[in-house]
Amino acid sequence: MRKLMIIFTLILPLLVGANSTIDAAFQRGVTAYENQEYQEALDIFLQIQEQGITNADVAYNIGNCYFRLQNIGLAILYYKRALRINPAHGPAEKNLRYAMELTVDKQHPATEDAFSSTVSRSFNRIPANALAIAALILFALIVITLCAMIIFWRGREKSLPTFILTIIIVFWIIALFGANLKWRQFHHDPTAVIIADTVMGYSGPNAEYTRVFTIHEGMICQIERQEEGWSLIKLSNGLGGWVENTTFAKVR
Amino acid sequence: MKQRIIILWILLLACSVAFGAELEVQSYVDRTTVGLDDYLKFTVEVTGSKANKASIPSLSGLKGFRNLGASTSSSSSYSVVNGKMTSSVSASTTFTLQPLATGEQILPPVSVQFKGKTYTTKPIRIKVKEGSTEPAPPVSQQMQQRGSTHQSSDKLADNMFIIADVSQKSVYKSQPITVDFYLYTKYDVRNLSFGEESSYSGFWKEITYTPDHINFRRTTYDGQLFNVMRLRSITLLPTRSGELSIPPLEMLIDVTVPARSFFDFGSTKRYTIRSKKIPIKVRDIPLEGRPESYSGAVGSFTIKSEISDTQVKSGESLTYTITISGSGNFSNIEPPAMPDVNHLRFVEPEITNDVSSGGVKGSKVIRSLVIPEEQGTYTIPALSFAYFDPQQKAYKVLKTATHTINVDKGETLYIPSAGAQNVVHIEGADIGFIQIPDTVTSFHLYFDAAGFWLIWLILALCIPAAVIFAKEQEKLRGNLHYQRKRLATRILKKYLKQATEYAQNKDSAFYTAAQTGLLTYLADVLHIARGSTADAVLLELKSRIDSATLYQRTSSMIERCNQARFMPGGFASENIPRDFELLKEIMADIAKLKL
Repeated sequence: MRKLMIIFTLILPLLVGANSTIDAAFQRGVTAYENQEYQEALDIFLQIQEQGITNADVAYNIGNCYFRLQNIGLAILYYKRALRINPAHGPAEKNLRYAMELTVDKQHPATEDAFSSTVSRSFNRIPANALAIAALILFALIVITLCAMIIFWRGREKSLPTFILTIIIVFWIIALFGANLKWRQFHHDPTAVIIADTVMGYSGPNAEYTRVFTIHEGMICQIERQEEGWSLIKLSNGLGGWVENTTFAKVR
Repeated sequence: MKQRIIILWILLLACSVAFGAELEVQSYVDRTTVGLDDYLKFTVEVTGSKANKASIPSLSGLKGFRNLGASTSSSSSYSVVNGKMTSSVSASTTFTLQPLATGEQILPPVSVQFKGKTYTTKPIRIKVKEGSTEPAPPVSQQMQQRGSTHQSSDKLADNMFIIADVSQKSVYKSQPITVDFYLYTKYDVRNLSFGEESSYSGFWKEITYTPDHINFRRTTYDGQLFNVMRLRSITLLPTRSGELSIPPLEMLIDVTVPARSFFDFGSTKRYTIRSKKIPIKVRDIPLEGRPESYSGAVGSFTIKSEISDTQVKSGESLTYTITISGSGNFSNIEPPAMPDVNHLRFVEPEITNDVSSGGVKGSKVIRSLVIPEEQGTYTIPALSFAYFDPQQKAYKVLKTATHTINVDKGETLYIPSAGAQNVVHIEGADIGFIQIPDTVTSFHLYFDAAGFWLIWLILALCIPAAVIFAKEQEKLRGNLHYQRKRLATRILKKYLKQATEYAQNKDSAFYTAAQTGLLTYLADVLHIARGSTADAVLLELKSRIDSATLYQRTSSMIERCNQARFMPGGFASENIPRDFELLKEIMADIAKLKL
């Protein structure tokens, strides 16, 4: 125990030291933003991100800087990124909703019935790591119950511990499934945001195909397929078409 | 017989017919040529023995005349001819009719019902002329122009008439028109009363002046002396465009006819005179160039705004006044809406019209109480008021001045009453401010962290560990020596706690404690009462166990305890550890037995 303490006290200054430079940079960004020097604030926040920091607040602040610099498409992209990191990031959600009202194209939210939309929304709000921890704790409980059964319930009636174990296993499978889903969402999110001013969608991966639609900056879409230089995207209203890869940025 | 009855019936019927035929109906008028200003007397006379039983004639289908009322009279006459008396009753109904249009008019036939029979008169032709057919009464003494070469006319229409003085005859829709009706007369006039009111179609009408007494003044009109009196003033607002007309004003006037001789006391004669119909041309207000704030004002206006104070404390009030003055359709003016300024509460304005001269000229004052609710500097923006100027045929937009108010912090907090509580509403939409966390930490999914999976592995490893542990336990449970050791420890804890202590101190009290402990233990195991004698316990033990050696060891142990306790020199402290071990072994052996 004492050894652990020593190691911790030795490592702690290193951790704090690494963090303090980032914190200081962050603070400079905040000051710049407060002084309405949005371009400078944006550069600082982007630098923090380039240092490998994945943080919802940083992404959110970048979004705000882009918004102030009249760059709605990138603002929406970064709000989306903040929400990818922390799905329960309230300010990002609010700003995203506001920014989406200012895009050229009206974006219809996917229509769902009240029940499924409530379920999906509440599932979205659960942090991925919370589900991972829940799965871990449930697994620990399974192990404890099994050990208890092996050691203390030997040669005894086992219906009660079996019952408890079954319930825990059911919950564990749910938590594991959810955590896995979150993990997949995090790493394989197909969402992208249009960042070019005007984008034409075609029926095939080439401008010679029939033009299917015209969309504008800030449109949120899902990438379904990618060919060289072109991607098949699907819009929230169900329309699909091929657009050039340079016209959008992936949230992931 | 039958034939006779029929003849009798025919006779009876003939009689009744003869009686009925005695009724006679006539109609006549007092003259066949009549002026528009005169009245016609139309009499329907029913004569017969039972004339008063006939129905009252009705004037249905009367055209070109107005029925002003009817009076009825009846007279009876008796005559004796050749000693035979005949009586005749005549009932007459006299209608007073007023001609409505010139030309040849026909008084329709009048019918009277009597005993199921209808009597009808003949229609009468009447010639209706302009003015009056009757000689006009002599003009008033005062009006006779002495020494004037101008011979005054004796026609009524020349001596008494109503003139409508119209402000404008060509107007825009909603542009007010004032009309003054004047009575010009040379007669002595007694009573004046308004005749039937005409309907002003296409106009919104407001009577702005009605005299309360006869009030003549002298004036000259067309070179002649007249008494003139304003009868009525009205303001008209045309509600539609096109060729409209101001209908005539009708007056009933009693004129005094002066006495002609000593025995003539003079009389009054009633005349009906009307003003002339006046055509009005109404144009639509042009649509082009119509400002957004236009709300129907037509005329010529100026606007002014002022505030009572520029420096107030929150919660105190000031007055914001807008005055629209000029001439126009004030009754149709929509005052400009109070501006919407955050934290400035405009109380519902009080609007006063100060309009004179027939509702056309004047001012409209809009006064609103303004209550600043928070401290700060506020600007009441310029309000615009648009109107159509008929003179210049164009729309005009007036703007009030802007006012700046400095609001200091009030001594008392402005607390609106519950009914007038503020509803906080969005003043502007914007994105939220940036997030400022205490420290910036990078986010990682635990699923991506190796340490996380290490915990899972460790946990998973617990299961085989538990299996190994359980196996070990099982193995130990089979070991006899281990078992005895474990049992002894338990018994020691429970029954030989005191004895153990004494044994460690090599105290002689050990044997007392040991004996008591052993006996109590045996009593518990054998399920007999605690405190039984040693012999009784041993006897019971002997009957319950097969092993003779164990019984012997137990009894010898008790014997040794007795010796150590009661025999002189029987106690040796160096024997205690050995005896304690022995005691433990005995007890463990007994415990292992299934008793």
